[in-house]
Amino acid sequence: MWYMLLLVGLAAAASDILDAKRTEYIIKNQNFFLDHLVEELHELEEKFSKISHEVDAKTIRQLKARISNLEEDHHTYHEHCGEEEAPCGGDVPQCISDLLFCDGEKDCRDGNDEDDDTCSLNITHVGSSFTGLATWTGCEDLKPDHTVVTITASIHKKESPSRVFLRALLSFDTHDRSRSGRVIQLSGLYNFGKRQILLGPARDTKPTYGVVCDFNLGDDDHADCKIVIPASHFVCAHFNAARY
Amino acid sequence: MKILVVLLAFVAVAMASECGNLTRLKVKHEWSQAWSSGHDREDFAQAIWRAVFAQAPAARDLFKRVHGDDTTHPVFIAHAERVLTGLDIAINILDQPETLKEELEHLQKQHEGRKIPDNYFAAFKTAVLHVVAAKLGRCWDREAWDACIDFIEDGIKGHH
Repeated sequence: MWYMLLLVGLAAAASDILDAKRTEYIIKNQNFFLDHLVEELHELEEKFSKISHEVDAKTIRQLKARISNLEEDHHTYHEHCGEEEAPCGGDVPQCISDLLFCDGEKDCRDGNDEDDDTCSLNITHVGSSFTGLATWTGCEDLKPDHTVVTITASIHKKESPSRVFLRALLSFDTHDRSRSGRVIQLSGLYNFGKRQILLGPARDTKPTYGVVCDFNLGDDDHADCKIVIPASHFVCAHFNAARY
Repeated sequence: MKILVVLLAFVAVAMASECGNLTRLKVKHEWSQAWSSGHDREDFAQAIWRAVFAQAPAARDLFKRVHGDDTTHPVFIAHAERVLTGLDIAINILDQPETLKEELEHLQKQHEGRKIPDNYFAAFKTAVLHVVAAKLGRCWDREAWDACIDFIEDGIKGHH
């Protein structure tokens, strides 16, 4: 009787050990399989990473801006706005006076003229500098060189909410012996509707040059700028400006 | 030569601080650019009146009869254009003193008895100056406008 019990006990113990080993074997195998899958996944990821990346949102914005500028030029899609009007944007084309932007009253049907993006003061922040390679086509005998427009003061008043009054400096190198370059004091305004900075000679300074910058390239950091004669707006030089 | 430059500078300063003959011509010319035509005119008037009420919200009460509570109401739009047409007439005859005097007397009669405080006139001048500046961009002479709008408003108020 005791002998029998011992035998049963031994057999049970042996089968316990076998069970444990088998489980261990299965787990190990599963792990190997997982490792294999992970490896395959890595290979796939590597292949995927070699495909060109998705275009960033900024590039798309800039492309859309360029297309809509051309559309506006040919007035195919957009309703053509008058000289003193600006488009509301959005799905249904509408033009309103640029004097009615950002004054707290919605004049566009979609209220876009009071939109936070439209009325952002980002462009006119004091210290904003816009620089580019100016190519002179008149007025000065200069080779293409860096030109900087820096905003030195900006005031947004409730009496003229559709504009921001600005002071700015225009500087460019003249390549003469003095190596000082030219710095011209300007004052003017930013037009929310047209997304345009218009600068002329500051008070009590000699009227030499003015600057016109159109921020129509899809963001607040790039502009199409011209150096002009203040009275006639005759274009002396042109530069594609970027903020830095 | 230098004396001439200094003299000219003095003349320029003297011109700028009061509504003199040349200043009047300048204001007249700049006004004709700002006042423009058609639909832009309506928006120009709208911008000026919004600027007035932004400075002096209580002034709306004087315009109850013409729906001053809503500047986009047709009745108010009509009123706004009427006012600016009056200003247009006054500015256009700045260089004809006798006619201007008649016009200002006429406007004074239309305004007397309405108890309009001087600071409302000041707000209107500020509004005109700012919207004209916004519209003309760079080429405009603030002092000239300041002086000549003062001159016109004094004529309407009957005092300085």
